[in-house]
Formats: sequence, structure tokens, C-alpha cells
Amino acid sequence: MSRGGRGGGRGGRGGLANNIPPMGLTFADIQAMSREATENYPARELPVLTEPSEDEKRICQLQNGFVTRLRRSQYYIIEPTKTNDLERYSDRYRPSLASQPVLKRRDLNPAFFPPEIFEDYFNPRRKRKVTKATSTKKLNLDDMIDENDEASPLEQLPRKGSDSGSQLEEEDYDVDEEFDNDYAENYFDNGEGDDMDDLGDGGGGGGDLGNEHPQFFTIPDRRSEV
Amino acid sequence: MVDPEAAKLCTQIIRSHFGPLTATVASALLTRGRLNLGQIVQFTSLKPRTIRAAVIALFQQNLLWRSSADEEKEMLEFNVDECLTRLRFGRYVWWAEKKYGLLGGEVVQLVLDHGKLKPPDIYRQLQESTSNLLVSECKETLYKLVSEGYLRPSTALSHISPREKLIQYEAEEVGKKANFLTAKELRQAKEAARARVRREEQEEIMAKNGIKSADEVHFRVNFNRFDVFIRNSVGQLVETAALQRFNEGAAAVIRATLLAYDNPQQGPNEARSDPVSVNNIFTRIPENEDLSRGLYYPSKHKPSQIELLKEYLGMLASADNPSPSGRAASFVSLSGSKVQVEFDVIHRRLQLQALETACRDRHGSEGVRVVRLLLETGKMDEKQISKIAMMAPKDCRPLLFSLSTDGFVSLQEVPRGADRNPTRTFFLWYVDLTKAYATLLRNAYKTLYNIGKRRQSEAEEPLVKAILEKSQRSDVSQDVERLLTRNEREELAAWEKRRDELTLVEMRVEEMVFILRTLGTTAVDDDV
Repeated sequence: MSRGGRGGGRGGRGGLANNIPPMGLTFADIQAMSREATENYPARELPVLTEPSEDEKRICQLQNGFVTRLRRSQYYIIEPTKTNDLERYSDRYRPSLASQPVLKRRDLNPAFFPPEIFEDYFNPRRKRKVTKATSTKKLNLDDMIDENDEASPLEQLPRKGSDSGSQLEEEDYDVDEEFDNDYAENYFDNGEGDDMDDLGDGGGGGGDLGNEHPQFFTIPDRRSEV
Repeated sequence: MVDPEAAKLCTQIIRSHFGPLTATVASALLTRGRLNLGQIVQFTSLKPRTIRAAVIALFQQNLLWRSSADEEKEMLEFNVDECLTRLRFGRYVWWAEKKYGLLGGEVVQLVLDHGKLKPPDIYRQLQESTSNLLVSECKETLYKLVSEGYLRPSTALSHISPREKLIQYEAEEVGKKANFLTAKELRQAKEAARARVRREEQEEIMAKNGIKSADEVHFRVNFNRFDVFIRNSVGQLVETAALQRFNEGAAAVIRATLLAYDNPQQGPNEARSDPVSVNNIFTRIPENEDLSRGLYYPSKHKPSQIELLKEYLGMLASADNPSPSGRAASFVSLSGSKVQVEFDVIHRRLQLQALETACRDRHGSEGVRVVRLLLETGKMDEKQISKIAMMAPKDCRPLLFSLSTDGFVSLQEVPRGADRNPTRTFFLWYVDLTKAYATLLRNAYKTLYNIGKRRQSEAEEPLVKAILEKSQRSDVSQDVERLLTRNEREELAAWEKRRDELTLVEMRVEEMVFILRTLGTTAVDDDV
């Protein structure tokens, strides 16, 4: 079969992510090649590792011990994930994620840590104090005059941006308040004033926009979660 | 700001010690400098709770600094030196074991594991791990460690970034004077601020007012003290240097001198030791040491030990060669009957040695010839170099260019005319030591990173990874013989051998980083 013919050559096709070198070479050949000198590459003499002394062995042992112990300590941070694989027999013997110790409050001295971070970690449900560093005047676009509605939001935005940049703990951007302000009133031109004599589609399009309930983009604001 | 190789290396270290999540946080702090929590959330896209846990873990291990309390936003800064020192922990514990026995080593190991600990916690943990341990033994060992300066108390002040403190104190000094300040006064204010920071550090170390009342104090390991001993005896850098230069007798004398001078306050960067009297050194020489073996006395008169000692000290001080080259080759300096160990000179020699070894590795002995020539003579033209170094010009030129690519030599242009015409300018080659050391250090960081990466990828190879996971199962770790097949055990043993070899190489490269970075900081000042 032609399939068998084309499929011959184990690993020779592209699409197999294999480390086998091309053209029938093997690793031994490549090593021998690199040892002899060719025109482009001089001969290589690889350095040999001197045997470690007793002291050095002990030091390496201690250093590796640190890494192993830290892996199982409370300072190795992991995020518990749930896998939906089939439960297996060996799972009950594997060090489960629950066996990784966590940071305990009584082991730590709060004076050393930044207070907010410390408190927020060990006390996740406390009410965070909202600090208003500078006054945030909420933009009320309703008050803006209609003729200037293109100019004024753009003017106001840079200032508001710098204000909100300096305070991360602003009040929640309450979804309910949306209906009162922002672009609600300025968004739609519901086509009352348009002269619709010549436009068949435009009228239909304007009518469509005008009839539907206003759609809002809401960008969920996670700043309060920080 | 830290250079990218050091940043990558630090991220690697954090990853292997504290996990990939903490490493992401650390890498954000290293690449972008000081950040507050909100910015870390933004740059790492991790959950805030995870980031808080990582930050708390890093604080506990003394790897982060914070801004002082009166600023509105809590800014966090990464402590690079502390992170790089983590590669030396094995050596510290080994030295503590050597000096204070297994218990001492365990105490230091425990404190290094947790960053800092209170004494009651130390006792509790030790008793959990070792049976039949008396609290009194623990207390005694702890007392010895603290009184000799190996452990020091950790206060809230030490967690505030030193640059913050510097800026704050400078502002205070400047604020004390009402008028506009001249440049000189500004400099004085800066110096005063720096001195104040240093004083506070010293006071921290001094404030160990008795262990018994200090059960509430958190102790951490004093790296400076351990570094001093690594420099003196553990790595045997100084001793080996004396041994190679002179003979065993000289090495013994230097060892005794270093024992006699033992100041817990001083770090490894001190320019020279406090003066020590010759008699003091004499008492530290062990009884069985035969100093006369190394010296030749023509007369039949057998000299006393103290005379021999004085001879050795004279040799070590290059007393017969008071010229600059003699002084540069000396180990100690004599003044009357007092001896001072010249650490500055010794450090410089060690660093030059490291430089020359690296140069020899890459460019052969001819490269070293050129580098030594330029170090002695300063700046020279290429023609002169080829003449004095006895090399053909056609060999000399490519060699100089390859040396300059590696940062060992640099070029200085001296134009003859105002138009800087290249055909009419002199090009002088010279060795810029700061640049050369900086390049060496960067290469060493890259090497350390590569070693760590290799170790990580060897552990993550599918076969090895599967075996490692299997061996960590609780039933398998109890009963390795039966539950792992022979192949698996062999693979595991092979992997452990590879891992140990990599750690060994890492340790040796780290020694060079120690010489270049820790011993050399008298010359480099980051804050200026």
C-alpha cells in the first residue's frame, strides 16, 4: 500500500517531535565529530570534573537538603488545583496538596511585615478601610453641556486617570448607579430630529437603535478585590 | 537596579526554593524595581491571595524590604544580595558543624530554613527532630552562637529598605540647616546619613542584651560573620595563598594570626584587621607545629619558637622588599610588635588571581601575558605590546580584540588633531579592572543560572520525573527496596549523582562569585 510506503522511516517525518538527528547520524557520530577538528571548528577538550573532597560532599549534601526541605515547608507557595482525572489507587499515597503546610500567623512576628498585606492574608474577610487620598469628584456627564459633549469627556479623562491612578482603593464602581450617568443620555440619537426623507436604511437603522433598550459596556472593576 | 543576569539567577534560586508562583512575583520585582501590591497584581496576573502569601514568605526569609511606615503606599523592594547568599547556605552549616558540632549545625540549619526564629521555637523544633535532647544543651549552643556573632537579632528596622533610610536621613540632615546648601554641605549630609545607617546596623548587632531576657527576640543568621570565616579558613583562601607563596610554616602562622584576631563586629570587607601582638599569635600556634622545618638556619643554634615566628611574620610582611610590588605581595604588615593582616591587599590579589585564571582559560597563556603587562604598565599602543610581550603583531592584534570582546582590556583613543581622524589617532590598550570584574561576575551569574536550569530540566525529564513522583509516595518512601524496580532505583541513583555533581560545580563557581562580589565591595559603591 502506498500508505505503508510513505510511512516508512521511523521518526523521519516532520511532525514528530523527536530528538533523532537527521540523515542517519546517531549521537555517537556527532560526539566523535565534535571531538575531531574540522575546518570550521577546532578540536574540543572538555574539562574533567575534579573529584570532590569529603568536605565538599558534605556541603553539597547540606545544600541539597535545604532545597528538599523547603519544598515541603510552608514557604513553598502552591495554588491548589482540582483535576478531573479518574481517581487512582496511588493517589492516596501521593503527597496531596493538603499535606503542604501553610503559613501560620503565630509563627510570624507582625512587626516585620507590611501591616496591610499581613492582615489581609490572615484575615481575608475584614472590611478594608477605603482611603480617599484626594477628593474624587465623580464625573457627572449629565451636567455637561450637550454642545461640548465631544470635548469635555476627553478633557476630563486625563485628570480623572491621574486621580484614580494614585488611589487604588476607591469606592466600588457600583453597577446599579450606571443607569443614572455616563453615556446614557448622550449615547443615543434616537432620531427624532433627523430628517429621514431620503434615507430608507438610515431610518431603519436609527429606529432600531432608538427602539432597543440601551446596551451598556460594563468593565468589571476588580480594584476593590485587591 | 540589578543587571539582567543577576535578576535571572535570583528568579531561578527563588523558583527552586519557593516555587514558581513566588518566582513570578520575584521576577516582577527584579525587573521593574520597587512595586506595591496592586502593581504586582497587575504585572503578574496572579491571584492577590497567592501574591500576599508569596510576599509574606519572602519577608520571613529576609528577601524583601519595605518602605518606611510613614509613606502612604507600601512599596516592596527585592534584596538581591540576600538571594545570592542562599547559594552558600550549605557552607555556612558545614562551618557551624565544624566549630560547634552537629547540634550547632542543626541550629544554624533551622534558622536558615525559617529565615528567623525565636529561641523557644528553636528548642521546640530541635526536640521534635532529635530525641533525648536537653533544652539546656540547646540553650548553651544558642548562647555560644549568639555571643560569637553568628546569630544576630532581627528588628523591624532591618526590614526597611536601606535606600529609603538613606534618603530619609539625608533629608533630615538637610532639613536641619535652614539656608541653601553648598555642594560640600550636601556631600556631608550624605555621608552623615550613610554613617547613621551603618551605626544602626551595628547597634542591632550589639543589642543582644542577654539570652535569658531575649526569648522574644527573633534571631537570624549573620552572614557577614560566616563570610569572614569562609574567607579566613573554610575556603582556605588566605591560608592556601600563603601556602602556595611560601610554605606550610607560613600558612600555620597566618592561621594563628587570623585566630588571634577575631572581631565579631567586622565583616569580610574590612581593609585590615585590628593590630594583634606577636605574643598573642604565639599563643595560638598549636604545640606540635614545627615552625623550624620551613626555615633554614645555617648556624647550629636552634632558634626559639618566637624567633621563628618573627621570621615568618617578616616574610609574610615582605619586610625585605618595601617597594610597592613588595607591599602588594604581602599578607600582613608589621608595626613595632603589632601585626595587622592586610585584607585589602589579599583581596585584591585573590581577585587578580580569579581574573588571570579566567583569562588563561579563554585566551591561553599569551592572553595572560598581555593582561599582566598592561596591568603593570598602564596604557600601551599595540606595537609596543607586541614588542614587549614578544609576540608577532599579526598574533597580537586578534588577541587584543578578543580580549576586549570579553572585557579584559579596553581601548583609549588619543586623537592627534581636533577632527579625530582615525588614521591619526593613537589607540591605547589598557586593563579596566572594574569592567573586567563586572564582566567576570556577569559570566559567573550566567554560569550559575545555567547550572540551575540544567538541574531543573534533568529533574523534569519525563522518565526521571515519573520516578521522582513515585518515590515521593508515602508507601514507596517507606519501602524503597521492594516497590521500586531495579531499573528505577538505578535511574534514581544516576539522577542523584548528576544532581550532586551539578551542586558541586555550582558551589565552586559560587566561590568565585564570593571573591569577586563579597570581598570586593570596598571598591564598588552602588549608591553613589
